[in-house]
Amino acid sequence: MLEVKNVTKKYGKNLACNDVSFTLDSGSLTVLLGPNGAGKSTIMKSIIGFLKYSGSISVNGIPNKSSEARKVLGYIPEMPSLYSTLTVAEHMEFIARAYKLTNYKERIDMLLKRFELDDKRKKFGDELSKGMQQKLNLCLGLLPDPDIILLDEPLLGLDPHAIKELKNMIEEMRQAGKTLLISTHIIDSVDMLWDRTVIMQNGQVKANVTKSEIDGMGKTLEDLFFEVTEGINKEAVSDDNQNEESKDENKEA
Amino acid sequence: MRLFIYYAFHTVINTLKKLLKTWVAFFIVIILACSLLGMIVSRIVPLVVKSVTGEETAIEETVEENINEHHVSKLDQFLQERNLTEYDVVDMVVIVAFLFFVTIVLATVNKGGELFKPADVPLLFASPMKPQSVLMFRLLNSLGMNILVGFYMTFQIPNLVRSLHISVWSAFIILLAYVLTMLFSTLVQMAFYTFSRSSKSGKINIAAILIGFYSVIGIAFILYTTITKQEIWTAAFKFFGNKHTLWIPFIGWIRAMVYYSMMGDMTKALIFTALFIAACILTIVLIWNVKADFYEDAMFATERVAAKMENTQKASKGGTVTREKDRGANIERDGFHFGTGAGVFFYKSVYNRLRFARFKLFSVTFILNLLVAIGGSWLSGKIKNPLIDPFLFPAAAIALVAFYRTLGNPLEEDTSREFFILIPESPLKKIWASILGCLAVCAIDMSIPLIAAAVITKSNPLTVIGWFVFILSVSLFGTTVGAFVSLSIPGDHAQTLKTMIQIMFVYFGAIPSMGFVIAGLVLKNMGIMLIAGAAFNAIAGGFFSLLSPHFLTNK
Repeated sequence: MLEVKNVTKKYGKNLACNDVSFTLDSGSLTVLLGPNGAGKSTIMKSIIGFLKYSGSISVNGIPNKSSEARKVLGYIPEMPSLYSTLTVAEHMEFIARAYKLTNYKERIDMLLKRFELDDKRKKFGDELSKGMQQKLNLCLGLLPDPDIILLDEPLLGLDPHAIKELKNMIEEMRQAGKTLLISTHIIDSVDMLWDRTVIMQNGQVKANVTKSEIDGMGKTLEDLFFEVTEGINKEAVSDDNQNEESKDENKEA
Repeated sequence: MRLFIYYAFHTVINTLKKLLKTWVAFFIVIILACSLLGMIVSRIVPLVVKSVTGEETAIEETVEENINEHHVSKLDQFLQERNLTEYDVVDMVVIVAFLFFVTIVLATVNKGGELFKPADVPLLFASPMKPQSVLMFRLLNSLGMNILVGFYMTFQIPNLVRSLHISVWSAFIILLAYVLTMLFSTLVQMAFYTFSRSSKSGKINIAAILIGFYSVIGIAFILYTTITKQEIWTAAFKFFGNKHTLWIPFIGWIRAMVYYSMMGDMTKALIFTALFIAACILTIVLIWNVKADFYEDAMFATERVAAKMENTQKASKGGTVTREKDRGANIERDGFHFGTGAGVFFYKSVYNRLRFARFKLFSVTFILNLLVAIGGSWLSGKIKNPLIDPFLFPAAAIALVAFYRTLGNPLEEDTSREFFILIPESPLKKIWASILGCLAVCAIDMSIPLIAAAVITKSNPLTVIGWFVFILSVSLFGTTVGAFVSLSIPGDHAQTLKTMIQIMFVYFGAIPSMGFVIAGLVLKNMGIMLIAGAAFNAIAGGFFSLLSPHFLTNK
């Protein structure tokens, strides 16, 4: 379980995240939605421990910045960050060794095949096209097979085959009991089975609802998104996980 | 024109605003403060000096005048022997500068499309504007920037007036000639560009044109010198600076405006200036009327520019930059099978050092160290000072190379990657693994050059080992300071500020190292002092390495 409690992050005077709280239940798939500049990437980077923030984030009760927490956390960044001096296969081996994985050869082969990088094994990081870099980025994030996986705009820059393959993998991971948090600003890309959605705007959580709650309201995710970001629907917020401050704001609106 | 003025005005204002929000504002304040201080000091000090040592100053001034006279007389002698004046020298400078700028700009004529900005393609190319209007818009912008950048030259007017003994107007005409040369270069480039885009091939062999042009001039000059049997300098002034060629369009006219302004004939100077400007306007009209289709070429050119910009932006944020061409096929591509945990960072550095070096040995740094070692040893042999250990020169030179290689952030390749933080190991372990990788690479690059220097200078092996450890410690200190500064100062745009701070840290931090070497020389006990220096650097480096992990996840 991943718990984000009252996280606030400022970049200078700019408030990127304001008192953000939500919980990811084990084995659930949560979609983090929001328009550009809503604070999605900031909260993702805070969870993974890249940023300094106020508030607390814990993974199975352990602080997120500890080595123990990192062993169960996986992150696939929006922008690929590869070594120009390592090949595709060497990148995979590098991560496997860094995470001290055992029996990883088969998983490497499987990932490279599924994302059509098998014939690019001997290409250096800077010899890959943008899309290929993004695919390798995905493979590296998925290689350690973490229990909690954060995917920041994972579909950007991928070709249709890779998108299909990633969606299949997300579904497989969900069925295998992994906890997933997918950040995106493209609602149409979230057509896979999801359990909960957290909608952010202006650095705050504006809605935190389960799929069954939305289905119960007879609305689509798109309806909810526009209601929350452009006009407020008070009932669109579930009681158990909701950020109190955002509820108050919604009522005022 | 309204579009141009709007765009140019907002571009300049916004650029200035952006710059003033960065450390540039701090830099400008420092420059202004120093200028003010300089002005005050330059006014006060001479008064004080004059009042205190009036006579001595008078004597010094006389001596200085004599020196100046000596210099002037040498130049005068050169000119008098050839029946020339200093105005002829300026005329030659004008010719060389004009040809230089025009040639430089013309050489890139096939890259004329890069004049356009990436945003021009969707915004201007797709608009109902005529292609020629779009071209003119960008052309005027480019010229405007050139003139704006050249504005600082107006500060040179007093200098020109004083050194050439000319009027302020004449100095102004000389600067105007510079601006017009820039204008002409851009116009010629665009004229060639549009004409070539209207041709079938779509390209122009500019290299052949330039080689042909300079060959004709060169041959003509050789013939002139041979036939007239003149000394080369005299022939050059008479051939290129011939006053009968001032009528030649553009190059002659620009020479004429400068020459006549210096001679005090302002009427002629203004006539030639007007002629030059009129010809430039005619060229603009000509370019305007060429029905050239350059959008496709310009679009590809802007794509290249956009790719370069994206790569620069990505690199500054630790992203992956894409190469234009693949690496050589002979490079080993499947050999990294070493290390576990944080250790992978160490093995990666060492493996890559061996993989990319020719025969696993000859990297650029290795070759540089070897050359420096051999050169330093040769110098020691030449100096033959019994008080100085002959190994000092090559070793100090290699230490200097190691020191300069640590500027920047040698660990950035690792620390800028997201998985450096993600890998579940202690941050300090990861930082140290990366540092040890850098040190191992440094050791590989300098060990053989040091041995070569030791053999040439016949040095004591213990001294060589002392220097080896000392240089490694210098590298450790520089690397840890670089990593500390880079990680502790947030923000992408403060790169120059970071470098300045790092240089201050490293240079001040290097003073003790130099002190140890000097103490070794004075006390004639280099070995002990090198070990003491290495210990100092290791402690200081260790201290900075302990601070760095804190900043990895505290951006």
